[in-house]
Amino acid sequence: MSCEKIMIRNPKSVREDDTIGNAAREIVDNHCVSLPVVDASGRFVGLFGIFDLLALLVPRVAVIGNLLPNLQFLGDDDGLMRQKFASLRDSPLNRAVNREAARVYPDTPLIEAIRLLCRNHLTIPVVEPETERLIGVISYWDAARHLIEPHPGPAP
Amino acid sequence: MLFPALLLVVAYGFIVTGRLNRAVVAILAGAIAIAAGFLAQTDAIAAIDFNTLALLIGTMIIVGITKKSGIFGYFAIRAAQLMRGSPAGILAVLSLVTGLISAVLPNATTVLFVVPVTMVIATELALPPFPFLFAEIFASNIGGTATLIGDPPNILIGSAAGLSFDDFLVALGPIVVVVFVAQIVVLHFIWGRHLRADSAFRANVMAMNAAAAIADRRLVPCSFAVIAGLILALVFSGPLHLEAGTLALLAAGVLLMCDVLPQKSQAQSEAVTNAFQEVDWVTIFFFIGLFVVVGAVTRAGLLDYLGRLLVGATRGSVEETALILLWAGAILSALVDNIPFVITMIPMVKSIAPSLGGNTTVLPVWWALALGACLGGNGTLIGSAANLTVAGVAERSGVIMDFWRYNRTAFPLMILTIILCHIYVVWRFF
Repeated sequence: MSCEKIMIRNPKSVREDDTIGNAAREIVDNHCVSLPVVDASGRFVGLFGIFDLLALLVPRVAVIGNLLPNLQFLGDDDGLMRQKFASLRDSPLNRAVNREAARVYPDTPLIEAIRLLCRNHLTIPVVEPETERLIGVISYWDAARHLIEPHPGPAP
Repeated sequence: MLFPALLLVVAYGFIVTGRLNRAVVAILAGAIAIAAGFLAQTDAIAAIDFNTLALLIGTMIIVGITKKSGIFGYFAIRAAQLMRGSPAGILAVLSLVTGLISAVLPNATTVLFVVPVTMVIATELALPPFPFLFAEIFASNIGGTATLIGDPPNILIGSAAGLSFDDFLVALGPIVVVVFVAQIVVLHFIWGRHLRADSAFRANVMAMNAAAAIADRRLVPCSFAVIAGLILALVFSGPLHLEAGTLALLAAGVLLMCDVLPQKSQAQSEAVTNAFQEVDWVTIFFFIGLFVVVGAVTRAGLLDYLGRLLVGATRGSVEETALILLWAGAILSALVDNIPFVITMIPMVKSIAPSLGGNTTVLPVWWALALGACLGGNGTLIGSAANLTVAGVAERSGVIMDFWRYNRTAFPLMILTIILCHIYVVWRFF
C-alpha cells in the first residue's frame, strides 16, 4: 500500500507570502494540525501548524531543547500573549514556516508515512518527486481511518 | 621528531579552520599517532590525564542534574528584580551571577543556567539580548579563571602541576575580582548606560514570580549540599589525600543517587541516561585525542626542544617566561581554542621547570598560563567552549551572535584584561 492510495488530493494550503494572521485563521477554523505552505508555483516549501503558531507567542528559548524547566515564572497574563499575536498578525508567514518538515512521495510505502506521523505528530505532505509540487496530504486521521475500516476483501 | 610535529600541526590546522569537528580531529590524530608507532598504546593510555577527565565528567553530571531544579533561574530573576528592572543594573548583576556560578562549576555548561532566563528577561524588557549575552560570556570566562574547577584550562593545569582549589583561589582570586570590575565598568560605558526600558516593560520583570522558576524543589537542597560539599572537599583535598577527579565523581554519584532514589527502576534508568547525556562527550573525546597526540610529540622530544628554545630566549628568566606565556596564551587562545594550547604547553612548562629553578619557582608560569588561556578565550567567539555554547543557544533562539560584531568589542576588551593581568603577575609574583 502506497501513500497515493490514502492521501487527500488537492489539500487546503497557504502561500508563503500570506500573513501569519490569515494562516492562523485557517488553522483554527479548520482544526488543522498543520497546513502545507507553498510558493507561487505550488511547490511545497514547508508546514505551518498549530504548534508553530503557539510557539510564536512564547520566548523561543523556552521551546528549544530543555533549557528552561518551565515558564511559570512569567505569570498568567494572556493579555500579553494576545498583544504579541496582534503584533505578528500582519507579519509574513515565511518567517514562521517549518522548512525542515518531512515529506513523502506518492509511491512511498504507507508504513513509512505511519512512522513519520508517530515521530513528528504532524500532517505529512505528499509531493511530486521531480517538481516538489504539493499534490496531497496524509493526516493521522486518514491513516487511522484506512487501517481500522473493514477491508473490502477479494470479490467473490 | 618531524612526523609527530607534523601530525600536531595538521591537527591544529583542522581545529583552527573548523573544517572538521574538533573531537573527530583529535580522535583521528590520536589513533594515527598510535598506528604510526609514535607511541605504544600503553603509553597513549598513560598520556591521558584521567584526573582531568573525571573532574570534567563529574562536574558536568552535577550541572546536568542541578539544571533540572531551576534554582539558578530563580537567582537570575531575583537578581534582575533587585535592580528594579533597570537594564544597566541587570546587565551588571546577571554578569555577577554568571561569574559566581562559573567559579564553582565549569563555565561552558553553567552559562546554560543563566542565558535562557536572560533571553526571557531581555524579551520582557523589549531590549536586544546581545549586550547581556556578551557580558555573560565575559563573566563566565572571568569567573571560571578564579578556581581549579571553573574552566578546563585550570582543570588541566591544576591536575598536571598538582595545584589545589585554594592555590588557584589565593593566586588568581584577587586579579579575577579586579578584571571583573573593570569589565563591568567598560560594558556599562559601551552598552549599559544606553539601555533604556519603558516602565511597563520593567514592570513585566518585576511581576515575574521567581519562586515558580524552581521546577523540582526536592533537587534544590540536594544540589546545594553536593556542590557545597564538593567545594569543601576540594579545599581540603590535600589532607584528604584525594584527587579532584575522584571528589567530583564521588559528588556526581551522590547527586545521581539523590535524583534517582525515589524513582522506580525503569524511571531510574531513564534518569541516569539523561544525566549522562548532559556530559559534553565531544569535549571529553577532544581531550582524550589531544592528550595522546601531545603525548606523542612529548615522547619525540619536540616540546623539550621548544622549551629549551624558550629558556634560551628568556635567558632562564621566570618573569619573562611567565609574561610570554601570558600573552601567547591569550592571543592563541582567542584565535584557536584554549584547550589544545594548554594541553600542548603543560609538558613544555614541566620540561623547563628544572632550568628555571624547580617546581616552586615555576609557579608564576603556571598562573600566567592559566590567566592567559582562560581570559584569552574571551577574545573571539570561538575562543572558549562557553562562548560557543552561548552563541549556539542564541542562534537556536533566533538571536544571531555575529562573529565580527562580537570580536570587535571582545578582542580589545580581552587585551585590556591581559594588561591588568600582566601588571598583577609582575607585582604579585616578582
